[in-house]
Amino acid sequence: MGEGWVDVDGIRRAVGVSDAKPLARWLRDDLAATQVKVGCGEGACGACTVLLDGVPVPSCLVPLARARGRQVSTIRAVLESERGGRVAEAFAARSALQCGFCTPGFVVTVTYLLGRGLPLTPGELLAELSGHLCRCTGYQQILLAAADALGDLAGGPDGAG
Amino acid sequence: MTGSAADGPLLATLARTAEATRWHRPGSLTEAAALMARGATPVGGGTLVMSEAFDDVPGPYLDLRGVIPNGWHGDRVGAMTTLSALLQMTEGRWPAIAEAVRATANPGVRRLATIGGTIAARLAGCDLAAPLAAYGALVISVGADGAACETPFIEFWCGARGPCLITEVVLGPPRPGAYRRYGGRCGPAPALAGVAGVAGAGGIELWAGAVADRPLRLTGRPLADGDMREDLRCSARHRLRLVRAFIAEVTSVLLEYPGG
Amino acid sequence: MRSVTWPGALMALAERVDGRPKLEGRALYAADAVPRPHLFAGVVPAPAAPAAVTVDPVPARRMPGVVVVLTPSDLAARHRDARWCASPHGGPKETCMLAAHARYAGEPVAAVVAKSRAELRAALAAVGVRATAGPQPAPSVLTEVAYGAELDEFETALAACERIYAHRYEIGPSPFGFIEPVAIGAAWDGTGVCQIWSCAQSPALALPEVARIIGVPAGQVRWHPTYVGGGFGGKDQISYEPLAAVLSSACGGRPVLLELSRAETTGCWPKRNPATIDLRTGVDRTGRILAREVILTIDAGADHGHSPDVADNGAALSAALYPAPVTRTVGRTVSSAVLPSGGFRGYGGTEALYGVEASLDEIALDLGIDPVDIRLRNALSAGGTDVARQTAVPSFGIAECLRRGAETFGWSAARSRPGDGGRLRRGVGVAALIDTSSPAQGPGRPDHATVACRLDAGRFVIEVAAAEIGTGSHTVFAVLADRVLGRYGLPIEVEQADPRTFPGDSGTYGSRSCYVLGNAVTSAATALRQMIEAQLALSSAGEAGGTADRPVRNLDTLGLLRAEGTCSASDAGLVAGAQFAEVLVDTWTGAVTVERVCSVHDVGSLIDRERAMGQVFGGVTQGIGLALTETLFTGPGGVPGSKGFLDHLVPTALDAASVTAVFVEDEAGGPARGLGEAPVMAVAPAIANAIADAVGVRLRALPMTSERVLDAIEAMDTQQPAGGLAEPCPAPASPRSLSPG
Repeated sequence: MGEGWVDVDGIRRAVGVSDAKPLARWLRDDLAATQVKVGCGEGACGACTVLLDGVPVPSCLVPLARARGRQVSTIRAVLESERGGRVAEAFAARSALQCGFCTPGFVVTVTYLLGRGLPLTPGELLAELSGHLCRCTGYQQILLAAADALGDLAGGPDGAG
Repeated sequence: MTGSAADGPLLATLARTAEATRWHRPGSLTEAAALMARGATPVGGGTLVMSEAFDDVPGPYLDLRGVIPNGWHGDRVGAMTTLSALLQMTEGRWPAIAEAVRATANPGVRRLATIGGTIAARLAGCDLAAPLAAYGALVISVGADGAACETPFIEFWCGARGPCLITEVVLGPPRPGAYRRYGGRCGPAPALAGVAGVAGAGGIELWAGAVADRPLRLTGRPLADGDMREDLRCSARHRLRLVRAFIAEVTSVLLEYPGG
Repeated sequence: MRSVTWPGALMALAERVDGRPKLEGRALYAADAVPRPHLFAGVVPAPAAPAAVTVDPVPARRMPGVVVVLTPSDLAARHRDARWCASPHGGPKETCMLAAHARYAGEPVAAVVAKSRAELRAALAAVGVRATAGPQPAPSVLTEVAYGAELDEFETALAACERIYAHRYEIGPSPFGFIEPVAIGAAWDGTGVCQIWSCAQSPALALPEVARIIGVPAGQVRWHPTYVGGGFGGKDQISYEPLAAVLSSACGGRPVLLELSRAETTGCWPKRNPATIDLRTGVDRTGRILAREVILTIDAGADHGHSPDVADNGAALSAALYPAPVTRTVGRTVSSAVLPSGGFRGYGGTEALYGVEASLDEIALDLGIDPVDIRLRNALSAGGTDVARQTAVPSFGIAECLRRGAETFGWSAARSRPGDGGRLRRGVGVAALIDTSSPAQGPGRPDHATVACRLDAGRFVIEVAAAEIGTGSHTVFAVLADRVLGRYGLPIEVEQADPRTFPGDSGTYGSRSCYVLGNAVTSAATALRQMIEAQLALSSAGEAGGTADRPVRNLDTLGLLRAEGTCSASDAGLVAGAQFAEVLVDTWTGAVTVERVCSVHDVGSLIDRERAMGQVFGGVTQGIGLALTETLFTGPGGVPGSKGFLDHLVPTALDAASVTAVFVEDEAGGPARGLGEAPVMAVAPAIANAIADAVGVRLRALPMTSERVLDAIEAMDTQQPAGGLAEPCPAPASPRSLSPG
């Protein structure tokens, strides 16, 4: 039996019978959580990334049934954490966004990497971000921002990238 | 919506629609197998069912969480193991599988997709198929009658089993292996072609994946254009060239292994 | 819609003004801004074309949750018969709301509104559609524009040249690939006002046309400003706004959101322009071009749309870049019964430059001349004449761009490096770049912009009609205003105004944001400062006036003050650039990796370095996709074959190169020129030229996929029996012969 709720950004929200609905669509259409963006519905662009029990996943591919009883953190909750705030500062300082549509997804994943605490080579950082498409920035400032935020985990304050 | 004359078909449509989105949570493997036999669509990670990249998969849906094992199940890999977990389990020990997992989709998708769901989907560009064939993996599955069966991977892939639920995958002993592939860009993309090699007592077991409707065993057989699939993305001739390149790479990697 | 307040009196802006809302997910894009709860709308695409289409809405009308199903015959006559040009900048009116005769597969033939997304999808699938396909019409020439010499004059001049070259280059179609899918919403309030939310790039231009199509006065359309999640020219369309308004009206005015799925955004929305570039060039032995002809043919698909302007602009830019004694360029559009084309970043210049710069590279190689030198020898220079527009060109820093770029990139050293013999081959290439800073086409067809600047409750607000699509234009406006108003120490905001405030604004288009809009902002800010100073002088008897260095305080006594500023640009503001690329070619697979790019741009006056660099990094990366991986698959009958980002391979972080941006500025401090398009425009030829340097093969079609690269290498090898490339992929050894250690 599934729980009748999903914890979204710290608040338990009731779930009806829409088990087969993608989590991203439930968040946007039912909860008006428009801070979650849907770019492709295929899990390729990463714009819809949320933390599910602390781990970044494309919410467009998560059946709502699988989120029952679990904790979903959108960019709102992520930014309330100290780590999330640090990542956002790094993105702002490096001008690591243009149209902004992909940005919350990137910030969620980089915040997770910071919290995970595992060191990353430049190649590993690229691989971790390979599920986030950006059409505007060419990634360079995003990678610098991520390296800034990750600090020693990415090889030092200036980044090894 | 008009008068009573239309009610019959409408009610039927309503009933079909309700059934089409029903989400079953079986309490046991037996119950799950019975639902599957009645036409429910098994759901592993859910990525295929949710993804807009593939044709709509109609319900009712069969949620396998809790009835199919996840992670190590003895010396077997539970079919509900996510690809990200599979990567950690196989890294360094079944290298060709680990490399194929790394090449599959992206890290976020891999946290959702399962090995069982990946095998069941039988996608043309599947990276995992060739390494699983090369390692001689076995697929444990349960049929409608609830009876378990062990099937060599390639036979399972080719449909030997009929409707069933994958419960576990047997990888066999760890052996050196390598997997090389290309999807059309440096970043993640469905494979155009891939080659898996596994070193064993009898030599190197070489399989080509993503080039046909099934992995192709390369050991001891000449390849031709006609074996490869041709589609909008890539010609058969180019797939063959890619396969040749990856055979050279994979064999060169495996020859460097001490002990084979 | 307000951007985040940025404290004034700072000359260097670290953060863009819209950064915080976007980072926090608070920035509203069209689909976010439609009021909830809303209804969900979608369209049924024509399955084939050209075809007479009959639609059976009855099964769909019975589906649960369905509110409305519209076919062409359900529309009021004035809506059914309404036609408009998909380009907001004008053209033949061919687009309709719902097609009874489909011009292309994917054209909307019916629309559905339902209460939920799932019910909408089920209902769309239930609409019966039958298409009776007619014969495919032969492609026909829609428009043709020519610049420079007449054909016979050119052919005479060409025949007299020592060396004559004829080349053809082709660019295939691909989707635009912005990350925000197309989203358009509409609602009607009780007073007969139609509300629109749209991802369109040029709201001020679109609004009156949408009003006309719906059949209400422009004053009764309220177009809500929203952020745009990437456009690149692809959202510069008048598309579903009228249909959304009609659907909402049919649902009693309730808010309706029409979102295209990624598959529809990929396969049923205008694509990047496929093009053919035919060149004939006559040179002397020193590489000086004496006669040149460039024929740019743009495939418009089933619609004029932007394509005639794209072809025109590409032909004009081609003519201007190399003003040979006899120059002739032609911009042609042809139609075909397939998905229409849009106006991709570079607007014909990108397409033309691929052919022009690759062809010139071939010529340089044949003559044994350094590719940088041949451009220095032939390119337009300051004081020259724009052959196409027949205007004087006071500034065009191509020589400086080429020299600075060659130096930064290490061009000579890279070229004199000994060639590798192994599997991976390295090569370098260069391409010159020309672009405009405004859509103006000479004194007779200027581009105007009007903006306003107001002092309002202790802060300055800049009002612009043009959307912030990501380029950072709103940040640039804040910086420009700060140069004039920073002395007052008040915060500066940028507000995207109701499009009715500045009717006719061309929007975020044609790289005009700095050159045209920016100058209007400066003008408005200056006018406002004059008003402020005049008022202060009147009211500050006894108060020592401030100097230029000492900020004047206390504007609190002044009420609301507002000034407008205008810029009218009659010249195109030609911009020069040069792009250098280094690639690695895998001779076993044909895969190409771009290692690094140096992108040099003559910007006149650099306003905002951070955002400018972002434009360069982003544009270059888009250029890599255009060059190597992006395509739009088409099935039989023109049916869209690409479904989303698994088919449309845009560059990921792993595909991006290391990019160095170099900006060349006018020492005399000229106006800031446009940068929005330039960074994408010469990347493809730079990469093509680098591939040629690496493996000695010339690819003449984009994208340069691994298959095409390997085909070219093999074709070259078969022509050289001794083996063109050393170390081809070794034949697979029989595994039985490999014994374990």
